[in-house]
Amino acid sequence: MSATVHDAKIAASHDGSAEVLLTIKHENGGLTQVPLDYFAISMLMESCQAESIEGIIGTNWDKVRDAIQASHNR
Amino acid sequence: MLDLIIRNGKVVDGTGLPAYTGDIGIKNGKIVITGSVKESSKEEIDASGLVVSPGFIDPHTHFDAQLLWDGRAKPAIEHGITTIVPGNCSLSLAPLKSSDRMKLVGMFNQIEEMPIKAFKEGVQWDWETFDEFISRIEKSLTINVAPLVGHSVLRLWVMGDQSAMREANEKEIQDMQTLLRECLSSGAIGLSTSFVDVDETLAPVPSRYADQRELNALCEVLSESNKMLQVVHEFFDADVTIARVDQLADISLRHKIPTTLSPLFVNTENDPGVKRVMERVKEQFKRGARVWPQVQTRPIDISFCFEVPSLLFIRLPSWYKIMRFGSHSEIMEEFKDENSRAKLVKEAAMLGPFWNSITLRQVNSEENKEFLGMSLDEIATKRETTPVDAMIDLSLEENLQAHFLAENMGHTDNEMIGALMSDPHVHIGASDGGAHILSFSTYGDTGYLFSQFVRNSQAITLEDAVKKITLDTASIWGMKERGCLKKGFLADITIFEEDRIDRGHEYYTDDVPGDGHRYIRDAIGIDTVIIGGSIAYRKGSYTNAKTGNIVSVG
Repeated sequence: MSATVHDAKIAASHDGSAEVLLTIKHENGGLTQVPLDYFAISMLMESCQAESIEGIIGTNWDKVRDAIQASHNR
Repeated sequence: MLDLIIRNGKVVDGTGLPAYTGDIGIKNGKIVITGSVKESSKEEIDASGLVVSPGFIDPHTHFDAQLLWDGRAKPAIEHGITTIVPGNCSLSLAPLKSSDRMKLVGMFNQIEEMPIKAFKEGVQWDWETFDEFISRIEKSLTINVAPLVGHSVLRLWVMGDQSAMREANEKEIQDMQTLLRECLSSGAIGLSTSFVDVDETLAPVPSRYADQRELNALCEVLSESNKMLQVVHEFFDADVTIARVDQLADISLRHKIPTTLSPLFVNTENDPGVKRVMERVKEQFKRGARVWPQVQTRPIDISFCFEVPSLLFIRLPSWYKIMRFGSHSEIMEEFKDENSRAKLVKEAAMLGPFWNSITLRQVNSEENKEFLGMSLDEIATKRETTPVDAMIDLSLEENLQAHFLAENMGHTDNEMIGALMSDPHVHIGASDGGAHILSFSTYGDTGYLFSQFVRNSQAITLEDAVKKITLDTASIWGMKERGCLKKGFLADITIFEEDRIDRGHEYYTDDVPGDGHRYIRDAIGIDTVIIGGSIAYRKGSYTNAKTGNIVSVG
């Protein structure tokens, strides 16, 4: 068991585009937030086979990490 | 005989002390008398019923390029700003070897959305060193300029292409130290660096390849003249931001220099991350460090058009699917097809009144220009349709090039932002003036401070709001003789209507070289702006004054 996606919200990024702000819940109950850009959230939704943003709630952190990494390496 | 007297104003002197009714006497660009002025002068301004304050200082701008063709940095002055700090976020236009010009233009284009055509057609490239750049701009300045030098350009000068590939070696670090020292002696008020930005190829900017050894070596040079280190941190992550606060605090204590990190956004209501960051900032101030988080006053708007995928539609599966996977023609077909369209409109209804307030901000066809600036609700009423249908119709008519704006989508918790505005550990700034010109307007944050946080929510008093953007800013950056209406200080003065000062509506204009455009806002309630003792702007018009200077600090 590791951290999971607890919540996902649309947020405004610094440059005026939309991004998704994930709230990650850790095993000890701690919460932290991670923003995902368009590419990363698209990757994540595809890996979760989610049709909308709600579909990624409960996803394991590993998938989020992989999506961020894929976005970074594109 | 004095040069200029401002009579009977409500003087808010920048110290935070209560306002008083009085006069200000000016001679040779400086304030020589405050209170009651008995002398006569060449020119007088009757400021009865108006606030007389020090000129506002904007500590986070990217007017670097604009200053090459516009020494007023329009529209900064008409918003009451008399001093700007360009060169933030590791990017300045000097020092820059001629061979590296297009590389830097690419970075400015990517990070700050400065159009490449504006650089090509609006800029005569006749400098390389920082000193030459200062000489180039200072002849035509109306506004005061306190320039930072960018860490990425220092690296580019010393390391060339290697600057965006690796750490620097000892010799390169020493060369950067020498170069920074030269820039500081030529007028740079500090060094800017970035931990997050990417260039036009989406690769990290050169400053991100620096290790702690290099950053310390450069800060050692800053400490020789007590100059500022400005940093763009990982503002989207509270935990990393806290680590950066600690890192900057250690730098500040080790080198005895001020540091500032920008921006700090309130991403969610009562944002717990911001609370934790501020707790750490206060702890570090208690240790004696100077780590100033910059907070902007204005909320963040989101712009979109259907030509480019936007996460704004991620809650709507059908919309997301066509934007994510559909080509231009496929999106057009989905919008045209009766059944697909009906499905999209039905799904969009999930977001209820969200659509009504979205405004149309850009179209190409003449016939749709009458709708610019209107909300979808207003357009729908005129066209006798629904707001979502109006959005789809406009997108079809404009071949997906209709641009829309969803306002107030982030940094909107006014209670929390108001508390930050009045917090003595917060530096009001991060406007990004002169940047992002094709996405949104970065002008009018000072007017919004007064309209939203002084008048509407009363989170901060008039006197404290003025202090935050004048004397506090000058003190944080070490700007000499600025930010206060006292004898001996430079006569940079803004006269405004207390009950009206605000930012105007955003609109699209075409005053960028190379047939370029930008989003801009006019000011409301600014009566007169005086820079270096001369009237630069009065009652809606600019004068020919060119009394702006390169600001000295330390």
